Amino acid sequence: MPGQKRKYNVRFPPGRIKKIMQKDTEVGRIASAVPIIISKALEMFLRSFLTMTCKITQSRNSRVMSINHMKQCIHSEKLFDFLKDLADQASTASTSECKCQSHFYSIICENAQVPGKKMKADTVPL
Amino acid sequence: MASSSGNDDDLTIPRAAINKMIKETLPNVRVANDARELVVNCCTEFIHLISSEANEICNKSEKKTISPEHVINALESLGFGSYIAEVKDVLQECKTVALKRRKASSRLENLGIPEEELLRQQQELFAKARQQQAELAQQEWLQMQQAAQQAQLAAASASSAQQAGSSQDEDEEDDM
Repeated sequence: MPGQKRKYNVRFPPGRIKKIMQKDTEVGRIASAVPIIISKALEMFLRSFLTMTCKITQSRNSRVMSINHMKQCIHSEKLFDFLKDLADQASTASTSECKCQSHFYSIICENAQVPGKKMKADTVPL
Repeated sequence: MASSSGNDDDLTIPRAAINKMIKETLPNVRVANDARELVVNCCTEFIHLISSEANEICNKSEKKTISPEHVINALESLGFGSYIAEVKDVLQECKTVALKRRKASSRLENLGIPEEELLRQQQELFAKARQQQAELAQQEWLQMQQAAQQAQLAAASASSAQQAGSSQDEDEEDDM
């Protein structure tokens, strides 16, 4: 859109958020303020998620925040339950420090794809 | 952005915005690329989570449009109640901006001159224009008439000059 500066002080594009919302066919009309406040909520969610993951990164004495740290964060916090499937789909990073651990973890994930089988990943230390 | 590349199905929050968020939240931390990609996808999941819950709340109310209130209630029921205070602040900003915009557009419409007066001025201008057109048309008509008359006179004098040469015979015949 030509020449549009930030109308509201939110970080993520409300237009894009609205489009993402409407991918769900159940979702109908949306008031114009809605994508804007969701942008704010998203920002707060990310801040929380990144900060919590960082604690795990530091606890592992790691220099780089990896996908494994995020996965652990997701599984450790009930609030992030909605991200569990996404975490499991994401490939596990293999690092020099825990190649065998990530191999073990991916076997757990394969088992988890059998319907009805409870995932043990919650109790497996990464 | 009119871009042919990128399907609707790859709808995500722009990577640049995520990178900026990471940079500002964790200024001295390096983050793996695939981890960043996971963050992008988490955003989409979060949006769907809130939308879906807000939509359900909206359906239960008699309203057809998902309102900010529905979203706030969704945040509460999903366990994100701690976000509500700041979200409400943003909502207030939205309302203030919308109010200012409505006031500004109505101020522009008035510009100090009431509508009936503007209408009257418009009618006046139209009448003036019509009059000018009429006068112009009349002038042109007169000019045409004059030109035609002159042409007639010129033609008449030319033919009478011709007639003068043989007019004797003709006159005698006529008299008889």
